[in-house]
Amino acid sequence: MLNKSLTVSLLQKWAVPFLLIVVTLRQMVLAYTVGLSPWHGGGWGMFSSVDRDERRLILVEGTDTQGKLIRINSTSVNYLFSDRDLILIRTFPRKELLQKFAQKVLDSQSNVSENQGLKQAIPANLQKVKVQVWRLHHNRETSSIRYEALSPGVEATR
Amino acid sequence: MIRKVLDSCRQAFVKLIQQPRYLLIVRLTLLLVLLHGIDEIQLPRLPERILSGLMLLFPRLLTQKLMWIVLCAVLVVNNIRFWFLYVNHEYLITYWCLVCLLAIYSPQPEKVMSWNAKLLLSLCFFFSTVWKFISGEYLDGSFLHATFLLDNRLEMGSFLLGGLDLEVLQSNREAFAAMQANGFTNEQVKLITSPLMSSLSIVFSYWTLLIEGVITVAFLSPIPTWLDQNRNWLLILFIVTTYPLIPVYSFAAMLCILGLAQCSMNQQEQFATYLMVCLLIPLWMTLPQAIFNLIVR
Repeated sequence: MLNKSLTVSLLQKWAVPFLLIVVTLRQMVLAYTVGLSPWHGGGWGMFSSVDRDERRLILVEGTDTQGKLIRINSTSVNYLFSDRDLILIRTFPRKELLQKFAQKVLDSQSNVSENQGLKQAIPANLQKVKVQVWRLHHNRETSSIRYEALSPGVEATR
Repeated sequence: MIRKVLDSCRQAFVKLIQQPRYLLIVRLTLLLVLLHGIDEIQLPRLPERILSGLMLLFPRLLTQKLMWIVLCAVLVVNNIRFWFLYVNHEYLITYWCLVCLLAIYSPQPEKVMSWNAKLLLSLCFFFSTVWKFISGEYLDGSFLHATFLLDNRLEMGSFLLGGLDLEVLQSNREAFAAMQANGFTNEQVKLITSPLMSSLSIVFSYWTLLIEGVITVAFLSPIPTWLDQNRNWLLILFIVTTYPLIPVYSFAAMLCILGLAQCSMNQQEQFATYLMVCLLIPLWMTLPQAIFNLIVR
C-alpha cells in the first residue's frame, strides 16, 4: 500500500498534468472519429486547422411526398434549437445529435400553430429529413476554399 | 512630473516582486479568472468572478482552502458543462487553479507550482506541435494562408507583410460569408491573395512549428543545457511575437503566469521580465493594432 506522503507527492506532481493528457487524448480521438472541431475540447488543436465550429455548415435536406429533394435553409430551422444546441451539433456532430436534429425538424411540421411565420420556411409534407455537417477546406496553392461533408448524412423518416 | 510617475511605478513593481512568489502568482491567477472574457456577459461565469474578486479584495481569503475548493469546483463544473465551447486557455486556467489548490495545501507551495507550471507548459506546447503535424492543413501553409486572408484579427499582418489591401481582405471575407450564408457546398470560391502572402504563410507556419517544438524540448528536457538555460527567453520571445498579431489576452497572460511560476530563485531577470510582459499586456498587445488602425484606416 502506498504511504500517505507518497500519495500526496504523486498527487501534487502528476494529478493535473495527467488530467491534461487524458483530456487532450480524448479530444484527439473524438476529432478523428466523430469529427469534433480541433478548436474545442481542450486538445491544443487551435491554430492548426481552418475547421473552426463557426465555419461549419449544417446541411438540411427534405424529401416530400412525391420523392422530390428539397434543400432547406438551415438558418430557417434555427428557431427550433438553442444557440448552445446548434454550437454543439456543429462542433461535435455525433450521429445521435444529428438524428435528434432531423427528427425535430420533421416533427416541427405537426405543430403549425406556434411560430407560424418562421415555420413557413420549412416546406410542408416532408416525409424525410436528412441532416449533415460540412467543414471548410482551404488550398493554399489554388487559394480556394470549399466545403466537404464531415459527418454522415443522418435521416429521420415519418 | 514624468520622473515622479516613473519612480512610483518602479516602487510599485519592486513591492510586487518582494512579496512571496506564490502569493504574487495566486493574485495574478485570480486576476485572470476575474477578467478573462469579461467583454462578454456570461451568467455561468458569474460565481467564479465573484469568488476571485472577493479573494483579491480580502487578503485573508487569498490562501483560504475552502475558497479555493469552491472556486475550483465552479471552474471544473463549467468546464464539464461547456467542454465543447471552451477553448484551450480556458482549460489551462482550470488546470492552473487546480494546481494552486494543491499548492495551498502544501508546505512548499512554490515547489508544487514550479513543477506543474513547467510540465503544463511543455505539454501544451507539445500537443499543439503534434496537432500541427496531424491536422493535414498546417504543414503546406494552408491554415495560416486562410487565416491571413479571412481572419480580421490578422489584417495588420496581411497588409504590412503580405502586401494585401484592406479592400481585398474585406472582399475575401464577404465572399466567404456569402458562401456560408447560401450553403454552397458544391462550389469552390477563390480568395484573392499575393505570391508574397502565399510564401509568407509557409515561412510563418514553419517558424511557429520550430519555436513551439523548441519550447517543448526546452521545458521538457534538461538537455541540451543551453536550451534549458534559455527556455524563459524563448517563451518570452514566443509571447511577444505571437500575441500582437493574434491578440488572445488570456492565453498570453496564462503563459506569463506559468512562466513566472516555474522560474527558479536565481532567475530574477527572467522573473521580472515575465512580470513586466504580463502587466503590460494591455499596452504591448493593443498598441500595434491601435497604431495600424489609426494610420491605415
